[in-house]
Amino acid sequence: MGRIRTWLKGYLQVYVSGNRPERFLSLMKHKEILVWEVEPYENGYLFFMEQSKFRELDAIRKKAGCKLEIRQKHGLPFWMFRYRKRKLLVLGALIGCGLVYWGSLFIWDVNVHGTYFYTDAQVADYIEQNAVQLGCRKAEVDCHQLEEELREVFPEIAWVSCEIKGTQLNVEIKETLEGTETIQTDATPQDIVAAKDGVIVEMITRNGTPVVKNGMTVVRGDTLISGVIHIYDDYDEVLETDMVAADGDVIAETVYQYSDSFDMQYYEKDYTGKTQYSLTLELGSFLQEFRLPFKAYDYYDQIEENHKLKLGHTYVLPCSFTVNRYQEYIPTLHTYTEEEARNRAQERFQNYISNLSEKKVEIMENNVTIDFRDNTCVTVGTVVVWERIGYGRPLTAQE
Amino acid sequence: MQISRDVTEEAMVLRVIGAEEAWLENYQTLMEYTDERIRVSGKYSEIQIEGYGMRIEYYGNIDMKIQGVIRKIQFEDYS
Repeated sequence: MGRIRTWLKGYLQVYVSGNRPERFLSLMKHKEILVWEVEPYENGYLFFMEQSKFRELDAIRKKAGCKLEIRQKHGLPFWMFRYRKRKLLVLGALIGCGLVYWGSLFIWDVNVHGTYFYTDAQVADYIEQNAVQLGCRKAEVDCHQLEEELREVFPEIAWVSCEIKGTQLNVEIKETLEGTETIQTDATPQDIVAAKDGVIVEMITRNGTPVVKNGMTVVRGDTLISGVIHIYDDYDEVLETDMVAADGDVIAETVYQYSDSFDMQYYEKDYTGKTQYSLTLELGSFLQEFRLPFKAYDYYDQIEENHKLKLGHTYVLPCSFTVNRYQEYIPTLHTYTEEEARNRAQERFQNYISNLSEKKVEIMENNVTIDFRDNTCVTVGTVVVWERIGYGRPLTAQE
Repeated sequence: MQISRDVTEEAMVLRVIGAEEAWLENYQTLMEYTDERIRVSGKYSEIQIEGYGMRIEYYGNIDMKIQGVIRKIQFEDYS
């Protein structure tokens, strides 16, 4: 800020020479004239000083018996004098500076980092549509409120921080860790019931009355742990009935049906090597594409590279350009061999197994067969897993 | 409360960072300034800083900053 102020006021590089230039510097010090970048040069010294104080040097110069010479002039006053006959240029520059300053008062970009379950674009789109529209004033943005809103709308978010830097709103997110479970703190009376069919293999009851045991077959909707607790007297008569929030882990062996198919024939892209380009300019909501009048390809891949214009690192401007690349290809028909088809079917099945594993199930067995019918590769089979099947169902008054 | 001597006696205050920078306050006159030596006098003493590549980054009525490779600092008392 000090340098900007100095430039606005204007400064000079002065050369002082004579019998006692050190005395000259000392006298300047007593006159409270600040100088900087003082260096010995030939028979005297070079230094920088503010242009407004130069007139005061005359008396000091005579007293010290020195000569002064202005070597360089810098700053706004000299720049304006240099372009005094080009008033419109100066005006344009001032208007430009004013526009840059005015532009810096608004938000032009939303940047999201740290997502895993959600995508960056998903969170950024929500913010732009519901909370912080692009082009809104920075003073209108309440980061604290936005953080609370994001935590509410996106339940997987454990921690979020919003910060405005330049014209960018930066949102840093940390999602809940994999494998953590929501701790049940609700005390509403409930039963634990089966969410699907299966055979009970393991059961831990923490609260409530167990209704089933290991080895029993259950169907969807069966009560596994009851939230009704009967307290009996010495004659085995019900003395008291209590209703609690049943809690426990019930693991059952369940079966997943797997079915997948794909055509034996497929199209492969043979790229010809030919590429066309076009440019799209975006200013706010205004879009304009510029393209040479070449004939468009029949089949092509379109790759878009968007570049936002910035001044420095954080001053994002409300304009961007997109380079569109069109790569021509010719689709050619191929047929999988039996071996290739089997490999592909196996790969797809492995993907299915991986996705299943992420749901915290233990895979015990899988039986799949790969068959070829009517130009189609069909994979069918079953996957036997052990998984938690209980969920809480609130008790009604009648129960 | 004890008041420091640079206020009561107008003693010079010298701060040195490593062997590359020095700040000086409460000085009165710049006696000598070359690439190898800077001599500054205060009310009751004089400081001589020797080295090479000596440069005065700024020189004002309150303080000054010296940069360069400092090899020796010498004090001379006037009393």
